[in-house]
Amino acid sequence: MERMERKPKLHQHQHSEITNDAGLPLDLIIDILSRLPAKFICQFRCVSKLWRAILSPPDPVLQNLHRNRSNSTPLLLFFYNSYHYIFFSSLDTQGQLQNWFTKQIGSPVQSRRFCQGLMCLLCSEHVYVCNPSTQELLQVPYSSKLCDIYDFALGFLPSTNEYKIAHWFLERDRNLDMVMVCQLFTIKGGPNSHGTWRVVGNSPHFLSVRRHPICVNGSFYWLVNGLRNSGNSMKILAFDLATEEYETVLCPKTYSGRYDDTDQLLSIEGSLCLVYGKQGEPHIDIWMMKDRKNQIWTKEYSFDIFATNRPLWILQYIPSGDGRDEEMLIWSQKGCLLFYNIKTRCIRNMGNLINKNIGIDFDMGVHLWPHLYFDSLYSLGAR
Amino acid sequence: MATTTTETKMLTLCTSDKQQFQIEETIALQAVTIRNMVEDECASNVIPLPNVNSKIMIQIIEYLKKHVDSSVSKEDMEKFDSAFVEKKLSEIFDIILAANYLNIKNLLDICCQRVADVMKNKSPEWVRRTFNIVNDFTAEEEAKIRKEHEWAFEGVDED
Repeated sequence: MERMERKPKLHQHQHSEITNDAGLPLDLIIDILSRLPAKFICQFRCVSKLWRAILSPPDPVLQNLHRNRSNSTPLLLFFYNSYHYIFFSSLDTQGQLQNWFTKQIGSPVQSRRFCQGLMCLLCSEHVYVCNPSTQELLQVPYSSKLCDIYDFALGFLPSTNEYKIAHWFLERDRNLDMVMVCQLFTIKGGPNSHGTWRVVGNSPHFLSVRRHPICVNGSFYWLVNGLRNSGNSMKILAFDLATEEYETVLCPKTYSGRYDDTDQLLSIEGSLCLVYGKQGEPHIDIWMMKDRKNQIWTKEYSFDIFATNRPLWILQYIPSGDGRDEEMLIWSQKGCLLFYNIKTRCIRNMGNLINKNIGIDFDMGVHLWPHLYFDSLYSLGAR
Repeated sequence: MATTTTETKMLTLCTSDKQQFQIEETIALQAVTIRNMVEDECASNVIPLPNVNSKIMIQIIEYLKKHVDSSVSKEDMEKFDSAFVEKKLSEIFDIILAANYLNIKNLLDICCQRVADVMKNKSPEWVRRTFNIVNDFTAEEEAKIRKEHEWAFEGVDED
């Protein structure tokens, strides 16, 4: 449980007297509000001018407390696009409908990425970032280079509280060699969210579009094979959003590095993890890089999943909380969404409950692949 | 006659309305503010707590007595906590203030959570009444903010 910093002084607000009968000082009001879902935070902006000042945009202390708290209550987001409409529906991990809404967009969605509560939508002529918790939708300036997409990703840099959209594309350099270029768009949050696309260094490797990068603690990671000058073994390529530099990270020594479609990278509690198993066997190991600086891996989880569910992908790790055990959210190629309880080793299949509660008929050929997210107060400064 | 080898050390707490409470030191020391006062030896036998009245002190002692008992299982403790916060919000507010002053982290936590749980699905009007906040927006200003967040008002409880 996080510690509250208690300062006798009020935060940046100059209201020294709080006119309420409850007589609660502002830091306690903030503590209480940080326990509410973003929906109510939005609603309570009209309570008074002081509350609006705390809630819009959210006070940094409130935002931090809220982030730490909501990390223990994961939500599943289902997304559906039809022409100029996008549809969001969110369920809790018990399958109960929490929220749903639709938004209008300029052109059909081609691809989408998710990171730390926010979603980036790449449409044929537009780019959007959406916070499903506050239902904010920010239109990001379209760059002509976006016509050529090799890959793109959404990342979060905790040290600056910024989200970054990364876009990789191929270009010829002066020697007419093909190089992979990256451009970044930074979202600072609040009313100053609007920025421009900026080209950063070339990638030392042609990325594999079969695997999109994952963002862990301010860096993107890819599982790639055959990095230049490193033979044919699997390696992990990292791109640090703070330094904007690429780096190669070693895999655990026991990892054979033979390319298997279901080998994957995963983020667990802010650490990079590598998931792999032997083909045809039910056994799966999850290695965690606990020491990023010295690149030290430890085997964190090891479990058997019935072979009938293979191949499978682990979508997310769900931390324990509110009396729940820790679970892995698993997508099986058979089309089911499974929750694997790490402690009891039981599997629960939520498919039926989801179809019942989600609010639209997902049997209509729509890909049912949810994103795990956490309620977020992050303000995009858009309406 | 057998005597206990260690004598139970007692502390006397004096509330704002000059009521005195004799409680075991181990129970009282869960409150960080009291612990600091005892450690700094700035308190004599009687510890003055001018920010807490006797009505609230009785409830806080009830909480501390339960939480000092290490034989209580985690489940039972959670049951006790959820029953403990089943009080009127005005009373919870007083306990929050006292727990904040006495620096009892867990108690503050469960009480703030209780307030937040009750606030869910409540209207801004309910919040103003409960926290006794004066609405300092003009009707136009309020309507404008409400319109910005129209969606958030779906499913709000009737007052």
